[in-house]
Amino acid sequence: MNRKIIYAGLAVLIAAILLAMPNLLDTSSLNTLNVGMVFALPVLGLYFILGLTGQMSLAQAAFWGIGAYTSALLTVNWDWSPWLGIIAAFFVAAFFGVLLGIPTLRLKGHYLAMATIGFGIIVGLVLLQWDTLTRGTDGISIPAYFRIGDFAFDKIEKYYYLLLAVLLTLAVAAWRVRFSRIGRGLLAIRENEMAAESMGINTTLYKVMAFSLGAGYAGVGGALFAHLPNTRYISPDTFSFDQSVVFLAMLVLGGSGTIFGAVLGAVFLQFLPEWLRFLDKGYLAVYGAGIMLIMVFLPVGVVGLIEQLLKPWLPRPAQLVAPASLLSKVGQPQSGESGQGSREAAAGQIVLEVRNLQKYFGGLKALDGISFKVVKSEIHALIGPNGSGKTTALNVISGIYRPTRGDVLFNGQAVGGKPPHRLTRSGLARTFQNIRLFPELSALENVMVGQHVQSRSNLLGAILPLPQSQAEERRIQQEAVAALEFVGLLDKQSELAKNLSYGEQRRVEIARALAAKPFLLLMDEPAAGMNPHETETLMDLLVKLRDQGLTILLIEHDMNLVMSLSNRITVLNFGKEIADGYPSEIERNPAVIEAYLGAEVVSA
Amino acid sequence: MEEIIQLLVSGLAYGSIYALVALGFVLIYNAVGVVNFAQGEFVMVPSYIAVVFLNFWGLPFILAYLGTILVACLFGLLFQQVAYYPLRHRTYLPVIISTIGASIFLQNAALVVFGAEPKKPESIFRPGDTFEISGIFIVPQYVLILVVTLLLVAFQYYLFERTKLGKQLQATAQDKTTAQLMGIQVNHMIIFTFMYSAVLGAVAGILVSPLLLVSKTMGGGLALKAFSATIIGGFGSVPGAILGGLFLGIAEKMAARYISSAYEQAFAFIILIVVLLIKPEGLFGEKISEKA
Amino acid sequence: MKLAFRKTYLSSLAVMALLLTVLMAACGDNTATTTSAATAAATTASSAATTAAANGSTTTAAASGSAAAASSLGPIPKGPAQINGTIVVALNTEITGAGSQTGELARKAAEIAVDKINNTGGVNGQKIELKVEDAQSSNTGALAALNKAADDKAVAMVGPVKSTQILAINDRIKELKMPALIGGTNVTLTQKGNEWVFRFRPNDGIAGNAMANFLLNDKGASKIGILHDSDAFGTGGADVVEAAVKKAGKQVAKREKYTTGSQDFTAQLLSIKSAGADALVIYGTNAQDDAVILRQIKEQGMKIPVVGSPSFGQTIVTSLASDVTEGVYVVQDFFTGRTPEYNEYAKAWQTKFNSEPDGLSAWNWDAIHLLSRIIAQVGTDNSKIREALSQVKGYQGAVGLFDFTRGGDGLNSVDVAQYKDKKLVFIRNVAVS
Repeated sequence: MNRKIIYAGLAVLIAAILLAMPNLLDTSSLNTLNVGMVFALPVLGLYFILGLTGQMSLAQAAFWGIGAYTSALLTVNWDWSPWLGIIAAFFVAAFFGVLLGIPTLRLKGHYLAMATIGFGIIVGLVLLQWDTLTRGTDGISIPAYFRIGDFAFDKIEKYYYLLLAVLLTLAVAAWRVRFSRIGRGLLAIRENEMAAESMGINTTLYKVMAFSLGAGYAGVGGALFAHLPNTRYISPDTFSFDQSVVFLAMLVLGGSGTIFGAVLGAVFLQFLPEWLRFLDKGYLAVYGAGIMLIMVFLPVGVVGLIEQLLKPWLPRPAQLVAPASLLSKVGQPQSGESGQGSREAAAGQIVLEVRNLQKYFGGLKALDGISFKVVKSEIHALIGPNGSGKTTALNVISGIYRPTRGDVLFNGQAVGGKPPHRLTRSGLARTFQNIRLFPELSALENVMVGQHVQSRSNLLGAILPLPQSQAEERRIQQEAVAALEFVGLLDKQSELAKNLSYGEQRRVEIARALAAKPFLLLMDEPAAGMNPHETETLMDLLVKLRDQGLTILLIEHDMNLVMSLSNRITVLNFGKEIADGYPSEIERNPAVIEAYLGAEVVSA
Repeated sequence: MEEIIQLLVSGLAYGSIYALVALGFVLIYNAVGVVNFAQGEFVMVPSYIAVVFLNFWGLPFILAYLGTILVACLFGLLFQQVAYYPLRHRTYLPVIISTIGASIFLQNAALVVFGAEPKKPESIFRPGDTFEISGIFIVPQYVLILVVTLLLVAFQYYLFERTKLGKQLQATAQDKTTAQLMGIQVNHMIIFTFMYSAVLGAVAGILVSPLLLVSKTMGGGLALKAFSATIIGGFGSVPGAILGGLFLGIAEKMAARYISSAYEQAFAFIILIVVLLIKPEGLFGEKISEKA
Repeated sequence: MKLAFRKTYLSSLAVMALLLTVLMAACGDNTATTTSAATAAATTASSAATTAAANGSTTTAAASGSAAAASSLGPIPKGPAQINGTIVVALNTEITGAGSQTGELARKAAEIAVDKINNTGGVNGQKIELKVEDAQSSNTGALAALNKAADDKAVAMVGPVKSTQILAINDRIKELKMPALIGGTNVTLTQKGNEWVFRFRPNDGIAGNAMANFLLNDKGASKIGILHDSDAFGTGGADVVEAAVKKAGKQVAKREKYTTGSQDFTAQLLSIKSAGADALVIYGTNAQDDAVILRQIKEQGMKIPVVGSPSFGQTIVTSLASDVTEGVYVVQDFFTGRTPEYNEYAKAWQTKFNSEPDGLSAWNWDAIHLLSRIIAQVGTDNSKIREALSQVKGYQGAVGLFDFTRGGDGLNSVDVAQYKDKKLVFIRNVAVS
């Protein structure tokens, strides 16, 4: 209660300071603040790209410039209202974001950084040289002000409020995106792209989306820059590569993982030259050294650090509990979606069939024609010595590798070569041999990412408080809580995944896979690295899942687990299938014994 | 025809410089898996050092150039310690940002120390002198650039393929863990790579500074184009970097003359994006195998 | 482990710092030392100011100064004005960023002007205080610098020198009613209906016309090649040259452009060469580009007359391209050393900085001197300063004879000079009506 009063008081105080800002600052400081707020928009855009999605872009200044020129040209040449100009700036910049994103986002890391630099330089040159459109080096003077009726935002004091409104709106929008299914998808890509893909996230699409959203934000910033009341002038030299680096520095300084950090970093770095005037020419040297030092000593940025320091004093999120009705449904396959056959289908139905599957890596035949069938509501084990091709088989089935030859039939449909996110959508989920969680997300959020294919809110639903998207978000959360409770980790829900123990991480990964409500769960060595007690817990869990009707295909080395749980076993050696049958048959199969114990034992 | 040969000559000379800087990129990338965005400063800093030795101290060319290369070694070592080493266990993103910071720092430290005015280093050949062969004007410095680049590439081939140190460097580049298990001092190899990369930059700087003059921004443009050259040639490939550099040098001059001089500075990146789209493994590179 | 790593890191930083210091010590003529010397000098000057004569009292020197000024100024209320406290004059220039090279020179020129005035009794006994506002080599930076100047209560602003920056702050100048004594040479700057802007350099129209006319008339050229920087300055200049050539009924053989800092101009020069140009106009901006272009002209064996834009006359070009300047013509705002006023400027520069004075920055000196004389007569009211500036006619400064009664442009002629034995010699003055 007391705390609530303190928070309310703080909020009122901050709001009052923000509103009174033009009266508190002198003209030049207010002007600097305005420019800082304009810069905060491209930096917020970069937050989507770098902070959320973990992709590098050094083209923000180019998008910023595209936005500025869009709005300037529309208002000057065609007498558009600046309000429309700002909207057009968003869409034109976002369009160019897609244009750059589609070819380059297939590239990783350094290539991407480089390609974006190249794009930035090309845009800069086009703005400069295409003078019939952009008026080249003369730049453009923009006579129009933003207006509401007779009221014009023609003084920097007035413009401040306009900027504040736009910035707050877009920051809140960014905040809502972050805590939506879209935001979790983007974060998942940053944290582990392969796991994100196998949770049903179309990673390429999402990256392009982050890129164009970031570009759009930069475009809005550009439009607001073009209409700054005391300049209302733009020229190409402003939108240079150096400015992209400044945006990057702003985000990094504030903390690339926080929205508040992005805004504060932009404003702060805009004021910094004023405060460091005594350094004179040395200012930029200090600034460069500062970037390095932040990277080394303060990777989370200033705001990130403050957040970490404040954490013990902030209220802990309330422990969520799932309704019992949901808990009992965990592990039950989704019902009847996209005509995939329902739970009530006859027993003995084939869920997965692999026919003569081959996968070659160059000359290496990792899989050399294997075939087996997985029956509904059974635990099917895939075993074999190291290097026999088990994991390759799982990777081909789950879509990470394309098969060289052969078919994978899932619920009777050929799915070989489909990307993982499509397979997850049709009811297939997996866990990984070396755990692939999203380490910087909480256990709960990890599982919520698993719900991706079970939800459909789009970007608009994320940003606007639409009733159905809010209801969906509540459902996602409750089902995730239920899945966590199912694996016995209810009390760890707000713990970051990286801070969990090994066994707990395994169970979170299982809960995450279950959240997708799959027909078929692929598990790659779920018991690896577990102690006997943890393995025991795991075995109970698997039995429970099978009883719920889930079909499981697992790779495992723990023979005790395999023999006591499996309904059927397929044995691989050197990429070939050497046995297939019930556990009791496999135990006595001489080929299997030979593969495991070596030829001498058998012949002896 | 004469004009084309003229463009070829100057394209080859500038291409050689791109190739030298590109080699520096590739070696560091192969050793530690990061792209050094301050590679341009590996050219700029030694160029200023050479100016100090030649213009301020009046040292003879041989001494000044050897001294520059020595200081470049030290610089490579320091750079590795400050901008890379503390971040070696992190992902590539912090390293990229850190090297960008290093680049800003070094450029502006140069501004503080040497002032904003560019410097003209003493040079072996008098600026503006050329010799003419049947209508084609050849700048002696271009010839020097080509010869030294050729020698350096030959030396590097010998170093990497024929010496124990080279084998150790290659092993480190391919698999650090295994190299460590084989008793190779991986950290020393990484330091050496940075030093060697700085030496390549120093040689490029010494060769090119009589042409471009020495200023704080001289390295930035070179580095961006050299990086494009590494991708155009095939990223991570040493021959790819050399061929890519030469190709880019020539292509740029031809495009500037016959397509548009206004967009000269954009061609490198246009070619880059086109190559990335149609042949991401580079014109002279091998197909990059995917890892799961 | 962690401690050890921090040690390595910190010790590496220390070594880097040490290296920097050694380097700074290594080169005696570097600017870092001169800058600190300048700051020291400024400190002494301002401390002297506090002990200066009481408000309003006029020393003999100042009185005689304003008396002398009266003769060269227009109809301005005679007699010394009452001034209270130090007079703040802002210099809007580029201390950081790409333009820091020019910015540094502008600051030096302004500093010696202020020193000169303050050491000879100030303005009616009051000292001028120069506030250097960093335009950060960007439009927003120039705007911030202007706002800062207003906050610092500057009575007038000298600069900026970059045309785009002036365009960007044009409205704000009007709004603040801040007399702006600018150095940007884009023709349109003084045609924006802003009566607060006064230009202290000849505009590009004058320089460009002079370049074309000189080659056509004096050199008998008929097919002119144009090479220019694609920034505002170079493009604007080249446009004027092209128009002038066409107006004279002659031909432009080829027009080529480059981006600032291009480092190689072979393709452009070859293109102009094969177009058969019999003379070449180069409208450059950046001294480094200018120097490289001149060298490559020689390397390509081009032997046609070459005339360069004012930036080719900078001392940096002379020092960077000394081997290849022979015979090159340069259009200059004014030929240095033709007037005693310039010699005074050059002497002050050499005394303070012990280096070759930069002619292109001398307009800063003139702007501050003219300003101080006007303030001595009309006081520090901005409207009165503007009014008085617009009536200046026949004021002889270091860079030329100023006449603001025609509008915002104070100068209307340029000088043509030629490099002979690595030095510029005067050829002739070209006035444009």
